[in-house]
Amino acid sequence: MCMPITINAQKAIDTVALQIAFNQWANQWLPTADVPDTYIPMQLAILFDLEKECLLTVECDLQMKTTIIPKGAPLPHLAMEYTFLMPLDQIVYLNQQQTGMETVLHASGWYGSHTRQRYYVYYPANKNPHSPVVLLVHGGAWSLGPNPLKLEMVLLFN
Amino acid sequence: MAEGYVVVSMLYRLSRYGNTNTQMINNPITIDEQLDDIASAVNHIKNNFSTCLGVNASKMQIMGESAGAHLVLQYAYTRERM
Repeated sequence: MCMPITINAQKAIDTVALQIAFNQWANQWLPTADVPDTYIPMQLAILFDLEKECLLTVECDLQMKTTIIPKGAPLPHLAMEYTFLMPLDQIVYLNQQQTGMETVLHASGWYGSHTRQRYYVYYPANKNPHSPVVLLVHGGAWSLGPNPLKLEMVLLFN
Repeated sequence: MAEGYVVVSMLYRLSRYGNTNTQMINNPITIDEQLDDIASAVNHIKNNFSTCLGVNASKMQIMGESAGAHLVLQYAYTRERM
């Protein structure tokens, strides 16, 4: 379980120090022993502005969310606060190789705070407000996880 | 997918899994937690996908394979629907 850390903006003299502190916090979300090596960390664009307290900005092509964090306050729980979809270019590339379908777009997101509480979305370019959702649950004797990049079940839908 | 279906592949917490025996023994995750994860994912999709992704999140099918099929069945029969 990842726990938020407290960043004291007054002690962080420059943005570099603040960035390092944030990276230490964000590294808790990076691959651990129970996820495959190919696990891709989320992509974040982070801006810090000491004059306006801490400004944390997370950008993706679907949505941008900005949170102002008061000095000394703990950073928000990333997976819970930023549960919108995050694009992962590497997965797009892999799937284009596998399927030859360039119209299938991808995103990734979190529904919880655990490293495994994650999902990957695959949708065609012609999706619309009436597009239904299919939720796939992988197998593996309840104790084995597939490499999420292999996507055998998803390929059934192509 | 060519007909507009949106496919979500979810991961869930694994039971009794780890690189060492100690991790396996200490892993507290049970099927109940895995069902909780499915419920969390369903709630997350229903709450966010309409606005974030622009799809009809109220129309959802849940599929599973192997252990996933069991989890989906047990979720469908035992968990209260939204």
